[in-house]
Amino acid sequence: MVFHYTNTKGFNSIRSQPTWLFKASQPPGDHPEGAYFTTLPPGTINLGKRIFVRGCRDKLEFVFHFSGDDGLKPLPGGRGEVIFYSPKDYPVEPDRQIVHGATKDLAEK
Amino acid sequence: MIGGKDIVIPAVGSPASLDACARVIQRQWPHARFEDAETGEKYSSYGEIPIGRIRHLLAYPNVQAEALWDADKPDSPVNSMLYLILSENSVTVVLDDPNVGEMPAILEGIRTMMEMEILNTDAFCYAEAA
Repeated sequence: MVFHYTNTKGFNSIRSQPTWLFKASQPPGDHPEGAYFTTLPPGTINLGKRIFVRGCRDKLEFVFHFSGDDGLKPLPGGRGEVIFYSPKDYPVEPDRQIVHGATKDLAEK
Repeated sequence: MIGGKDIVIPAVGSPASLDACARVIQRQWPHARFEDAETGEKYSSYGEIPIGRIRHLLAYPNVQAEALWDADKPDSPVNSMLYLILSENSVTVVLDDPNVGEMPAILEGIRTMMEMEILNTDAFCYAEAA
């Protein structure tokens, strides 16, 4: 099970199409360009700290949840246990989509 | 969304490895505070860390840095938190910038300790086999 966290703008853009398309971009730091995902579910303690993002409340406000990790690469090192990326845009067809919505709502379920 | 830089250091990967890392940090940051990244349990000093039960350890230089991260402040200073992950053959140190402040000394200290552990283990295995 894989999760992608995003802000309001990203949420509305991705959910606007039947096939979710997660766009590759250059993250801060020295990580490779890509679309980033995690297996850490909503409600995970210290989610923001483990992703290592400050002031991340808005960036984690919404989440997409889907099955399968075809084509995703683990991040080198210990965080590769839970963080994965696709070097290019990553489409998720409807048959892999599980749920999407506000992170706090999904954490309470 | 991801931040930080991941420095992967070869290690034995035992609880002693994480213990050594925490000692190095405490030496450079005398007021260091620690947290189990997975449970959120807080430790006000190195001596409180239940080594052996933890694989994901957060370290802060002081109580102020810890409070800024706890409050999810976007302006917390560079290198105000370290995230250590113990794996089978390595320790990963996640940080902002390896070249700023005490970070070169901390990383050098951790590398040295991990090399010593590996050498000691190799020597032990050699002695066992002999």
